[in-house]
Amino acid sequence: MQSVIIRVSVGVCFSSANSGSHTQTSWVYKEFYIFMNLHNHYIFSMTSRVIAAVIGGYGCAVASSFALVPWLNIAFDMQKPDAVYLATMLSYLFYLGAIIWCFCQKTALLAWRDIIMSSLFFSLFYLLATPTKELVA
Amino acid sequence: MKPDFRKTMIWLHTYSGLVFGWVIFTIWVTGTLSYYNDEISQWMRPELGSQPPAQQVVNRSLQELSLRASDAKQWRISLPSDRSNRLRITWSDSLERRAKRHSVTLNSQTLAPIEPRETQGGNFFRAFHYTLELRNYGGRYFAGAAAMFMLVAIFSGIFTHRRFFRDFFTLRFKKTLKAVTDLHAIAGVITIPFCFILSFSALLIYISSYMPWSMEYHFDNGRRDIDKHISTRLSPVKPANELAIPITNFDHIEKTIQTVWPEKGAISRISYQYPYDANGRIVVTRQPLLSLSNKSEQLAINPHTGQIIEEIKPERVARMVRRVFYGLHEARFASPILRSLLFFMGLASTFLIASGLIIWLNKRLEKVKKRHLGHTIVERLNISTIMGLIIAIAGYFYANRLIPITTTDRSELEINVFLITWLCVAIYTLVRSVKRAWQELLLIAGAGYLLLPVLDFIINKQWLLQAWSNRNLIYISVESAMLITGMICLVFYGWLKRRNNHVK
Repeated sequence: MQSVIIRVSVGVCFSSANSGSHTQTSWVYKEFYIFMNLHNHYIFSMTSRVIAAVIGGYGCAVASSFALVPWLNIAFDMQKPDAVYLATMLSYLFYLGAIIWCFCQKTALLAWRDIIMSSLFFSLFYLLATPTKELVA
Repeated sequence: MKPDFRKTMIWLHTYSGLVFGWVIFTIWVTGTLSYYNDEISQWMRPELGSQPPAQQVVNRSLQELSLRASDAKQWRISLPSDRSNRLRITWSDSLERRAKRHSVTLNSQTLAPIEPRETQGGNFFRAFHYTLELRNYGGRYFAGAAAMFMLVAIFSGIFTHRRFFRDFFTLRFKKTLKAVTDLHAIAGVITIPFCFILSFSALLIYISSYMPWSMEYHFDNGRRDIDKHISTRLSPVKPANELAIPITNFDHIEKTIQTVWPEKGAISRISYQYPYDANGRIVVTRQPLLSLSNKSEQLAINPHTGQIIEEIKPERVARMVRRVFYGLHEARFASPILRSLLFFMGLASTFLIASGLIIWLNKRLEKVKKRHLGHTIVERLNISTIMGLIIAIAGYFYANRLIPITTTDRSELEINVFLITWLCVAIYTLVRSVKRAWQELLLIAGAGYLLLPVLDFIINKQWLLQAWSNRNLIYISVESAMLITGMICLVFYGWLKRRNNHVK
């Protein structure tokens, strides 16, 4: 059981890192491929995507539920409780979008990149936008 | 993997549908049934009778309340409506939400107290479709995950078609699997908006459980106090501790209410808060028939002068969005025809889910020579979920009629019968071969549903006869729906039997 878990977890990292470069596989990849018996590369790529979609996507949605608060507050002059509530509701759309996006990207690595970048963007937006205007309670 | 958008979407559709498919099926069947929550409850509490409510029902209930509970802090009358035939008076010693309540059901004609059998009625299906009877074990989160999977499956399902319109008008009846696939596509296209609204609103209803982070961060008391911040409500009452006699003749007040709410039968509930206090008030709740939002409209009325004091303010945008989605999900506004349309949309969606699960299996069994363990698991789960649920619902109805009325914890026993029946069917499918399991279970389900009205008639024929003489369409429709379900099961049984004999 433990070995399966190790295999899967290592494989997830590895496939996401390498799935973009089929043409120039490095010797590390070849060694690792033989060592881990990774003939079913597809499964690992898919597992990686699923994790990016379900967990990464949720994280991205949570970040958006924060980032939209100052935006709604400033752009639409919405009261703080309402802004928090509406932002949380809108975050589901980002979750759905993130899930679809993860499966549309060319490789699992690109999917992870986009998820992390958008989450960072949302977090930065929240941190920068909040102090500019006091949230109206 | 190839970056082909359509292929990816097909993969996503296949597996997002499969992983939660059985849970989604269960939720959609019980959810569809709860469109007729009140109607099913009416069938399950036959003691309430089918008589039309009396003219002076409010005044006489108020008399009952003043006799029974002169020192209570709150009186409440829940009036019967077009859908529900239950007249109930309730009183409690405090206005707190968790205060202990005393409740008496009255005959709506004679106002004599009656004791209907202890049952959850149709409300069981409603509760089951979002808690899965796992209330303290994260059942709601499970249902929420299922809703998200459903959303993904709907979205990706749209893109599995290369030619959307041609596929919609394609029906190939020569081969069964092809026919089922085409019907799956048609049902899918028809129910796209329905499924999308229902799954999305399901997520919005429990928003503060599924996405609590922003609320927890921005408010002192987190999501527990969120209602206080974003919702509108009537101002609280402060008792003056001075004795005053309220108006208990409601006719005059009813005329005042009619100036604001002109429709007939507008009132669904009347409560007297601090009835014998100088600062007491009457709060009247409107029938939710004229608005998409599920916010109950309320009026506060002075119980000494009969004047309207206060009207509840409309919700602000953020809360209104959730209210409207919640309202669309519950469809309490729906008139009988719209309700039946929604019910058939629900049935189409359940067909969509069930056929999807069956297609997944049969497509693979056609291609693969050697069976995989996964195929067997999916096969058995398909039978035990689809047939198991149908039979378990029948079992629940049988339990309602057969368990003696005096049994303690009767309503819980009914639910246990539901669950145990399901378990028995699941075990049964493991024992029998696949073809036989489908056939025999369809036969059992068909016979079960056909015998339900017969059993009802044998136990007490007055219930049906009274419903017939009072033109109570609800009672008769529930029974005929059972008969139709039974017939459909038997038709499928006959079809499967002929097909299997033909193959041999």
